[in-house]
Amino acid sequence: MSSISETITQVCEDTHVPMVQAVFGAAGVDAVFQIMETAKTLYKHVELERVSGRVVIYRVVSPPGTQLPALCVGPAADFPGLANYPLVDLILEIAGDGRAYTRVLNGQTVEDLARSAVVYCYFAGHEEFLAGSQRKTVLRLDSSARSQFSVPTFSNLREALQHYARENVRESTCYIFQLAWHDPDRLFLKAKPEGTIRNSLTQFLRNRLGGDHDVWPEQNVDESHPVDIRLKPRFSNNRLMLVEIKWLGWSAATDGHITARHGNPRAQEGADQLAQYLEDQLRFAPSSVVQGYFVIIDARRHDLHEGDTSISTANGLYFEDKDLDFNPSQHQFRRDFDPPYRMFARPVCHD
Amino acid sequence: MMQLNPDAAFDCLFVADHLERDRGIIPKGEIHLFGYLACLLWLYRRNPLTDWGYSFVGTELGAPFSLDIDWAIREFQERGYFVGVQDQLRLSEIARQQLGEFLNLSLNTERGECLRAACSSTAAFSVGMVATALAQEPDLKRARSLPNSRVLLGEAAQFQLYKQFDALYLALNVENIDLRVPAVVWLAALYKSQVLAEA
Repeated sequence: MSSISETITQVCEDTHVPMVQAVFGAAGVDAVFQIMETAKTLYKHVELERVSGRVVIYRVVSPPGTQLPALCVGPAADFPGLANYPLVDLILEIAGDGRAYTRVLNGQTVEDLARSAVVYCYFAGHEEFLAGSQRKTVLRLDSSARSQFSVPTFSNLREALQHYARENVRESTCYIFQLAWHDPDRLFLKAKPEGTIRNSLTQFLRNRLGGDHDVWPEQNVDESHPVDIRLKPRFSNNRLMLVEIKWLGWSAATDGHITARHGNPRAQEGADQLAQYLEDQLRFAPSSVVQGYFVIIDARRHDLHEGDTSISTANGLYFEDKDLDFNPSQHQFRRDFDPPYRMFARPVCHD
Repeated sequence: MMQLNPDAAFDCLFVADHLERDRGIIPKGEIHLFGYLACLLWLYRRNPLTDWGYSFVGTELGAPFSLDIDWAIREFQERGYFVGVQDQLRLSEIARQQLGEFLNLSLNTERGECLRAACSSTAAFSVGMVATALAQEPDLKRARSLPNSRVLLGEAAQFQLYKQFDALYLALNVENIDLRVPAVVWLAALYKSQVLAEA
């Protein structure tokens, strides 16, 4: 394992901000921060899934005091107005007034621009900065975001879990979550995928819950201590949120043999375990306010057989809209138990 | 009875103004977080810790907390500088005027640079990433492993911190660099060290 000093050196060599500082000095640093802030604002309004081409944002820094040609001056870009347009290429220049203006490159390449400007370029999930003759890929610290600058902050755990289901699990877009699958068409999970799923959700919550929550993965000791993730608001010592994760579907070993089959009873079992654990917490720490959150990763497939390598849409999505039955329904009579968060993970279907 | 610490008051308004412009709300815990990051960047500049003007404790969850910032928040709520309830605070016009006056004071120039660099880190990272990274800072990491809250940045902790800052100086190799540069490099390295440790 490398030391923190080695990691600092590595980050310095690999990332764009020191590169821009080295090429353009203080003016470059101002430009790169303006560009990152502009990208963040833009991605609050424009979903990157809707951009089929490139997003280029640049700020001219050399020679100092370079002004926009008068012909280019028009109204500043209206980011909310761009939200519903199908975008091919989006080119933005940050002018001296700090605002972004849409531009046309007129045959210029981003490499041409970078001779006198700090340039950000996004294309198909890859993003980089160019300055002078240098370029660096943006360090992606989030395994599910399309851009390092499009990681939103949610105000509470419920909102975050709903987004996790939609953005990460449904199409397995999170790089960590993808590792939980046995096969490329996502028919079977790997044997014992719990740790991978827990790491995916832990990272998602840490990156998106603001600075007020402490998020820690737990190692499951036994069935009576089922909690996977603990969250504590940093300034409310008596509050605790417990997340329990269970998966449904089939898991397979590397040679393809089935290692586990989990259906509705598994979900019931998880709910009962979490309820029992909440009950114990109530008894042993009565002054704490504890809330339970039950996450079910639903990877069930209809008419699946050992060794299958593909599935039809009808069978692959058969369970997508089929809610689970709980008896007893812990969430209906316990106030400290949120309604279960069933997150269906779609396979790749072939018809 | 506590008195309003002028340094904490300035920091509180500066960070709150940034958070409101960035996210539209002012979560109280994040004022402590960015205040502490600014304090660390003050040390990066080799300024004495005592000149920061107030101290922080590390909670058992690895979060920084300052009594002076907490008091400033309460005072500002009572005075009508912060309006709203719980974490849904907003700055009033009078608070903005006060912040403008603080910013015009030359004695706040260097302090403002540290606060600006700390707050600007949100251009590169989500607030959650900043909090996760900062929890790996040597003294906050130690605070997490002990059951009680304790004062941060004692001599031994500063020694550890300066070892990391020396590595940063060496890697960046620029005198009087814009503090936003070491801030984002250091946070990215701390975040990566957390990921590597849990892998």
